[in-house]
Amino acid sequence: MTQVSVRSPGALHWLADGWHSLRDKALQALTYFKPDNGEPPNDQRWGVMAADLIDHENHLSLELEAPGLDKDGIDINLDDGFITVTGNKRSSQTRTVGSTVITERAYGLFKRVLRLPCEVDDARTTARYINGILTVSIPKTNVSKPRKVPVKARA
Amino acid sequence: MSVLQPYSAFEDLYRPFEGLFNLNQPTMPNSPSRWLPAVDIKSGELGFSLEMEVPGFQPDEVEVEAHDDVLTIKGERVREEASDTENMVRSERCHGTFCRKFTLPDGTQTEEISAEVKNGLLCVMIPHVPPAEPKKISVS
Repeated sequence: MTQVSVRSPGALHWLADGWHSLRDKALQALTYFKPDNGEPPNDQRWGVMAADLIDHENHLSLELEAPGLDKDGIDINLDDGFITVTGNKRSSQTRTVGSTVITERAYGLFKRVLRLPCEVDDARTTARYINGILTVSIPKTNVSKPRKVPVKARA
Repeated sequence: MSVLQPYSAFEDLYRPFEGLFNLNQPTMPNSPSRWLPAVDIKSGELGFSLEMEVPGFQPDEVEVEAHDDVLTIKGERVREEASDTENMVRSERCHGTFCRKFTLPDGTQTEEISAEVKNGLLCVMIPHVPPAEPKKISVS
C-alpha cells in the first residue's frame, strides 16, 4: 500500500491518505480478465473479485468471490509473502445460445495477488471451493506467543 | 396526502458516498441496495436466460419474484463473524441487501419462470409465448 509520509498532519495529508487507501482497495478488487483463445469475444474486460483476508490466531483465512468456476481450473500459489490465485472463467455454454442482451460479467484468464501479513506454512495450506467462494486456510509459522516477563523487586 | 420528507431526501444525497467511504457500515433500514451483482442476459427462441453472480448464496437466500411486468431479484448476506472485524486484513466483500429489477417484455410466461443457484451463479429462465405462425386464410 502506498503510504503518504506526514510531517505536519493537515487536511490535505488526511485526504491524500484516504484517497490512496481507497484507490488501493479499488485496484485490488478490480481484476483484469485476459481474453482466452477459443472463447467468444466479450467486451467486459474488468470484473470485481472481492476478497476478505482474516488474521486468526494460528492461521490466515482468505475468502475470494469467484462464482461460476470449475474447481479444477483454479491454481493457488504461495511465494515470498504473497498468495496468487489464477484461473480461467468461462461463460457457461449450457443454455446461453442466443443473442446477447446485457453483458456485465467478465470472462477469461484472471490473476489475483494478495500480500500476506506474516510468514506462512505453504505445505499445510488447504483450499475448498463452495458456492462460488474459494476459501483458503493458510497456517502461520513461528507464531510468537506473548512471553510474560516477571518484574523483580530490588532487595 | 403528500408529505415532505427531508430525511429521505438527505439519505438519497448521502447514499453514493456511503458506499465509497464506509465500506463496512451496517445497512440502513429501507436502503434499496448495497451492491449490484453483475448479470448476463441472453435471448433465444424460447425466451431469455439470465445469469447473476451471487457467490456464497444458498438457494433459499435469494428471492426471485415476477409481478406484473417486473422481475425482482433480492438477497441478503450477513457477515458471519461480526465481532471479528478487528482481525480483517482486507475487507472487500459486500454485505447487506441487494435488489435488482428488470422489465419483462410482452409475451412473458410469468408462471413458467424458473430459477436455480449453482456454484455461486443464479440462473433464471424466462420463457415467452412462441410467436404466432402466420395463418393463411383460403379465399373461396
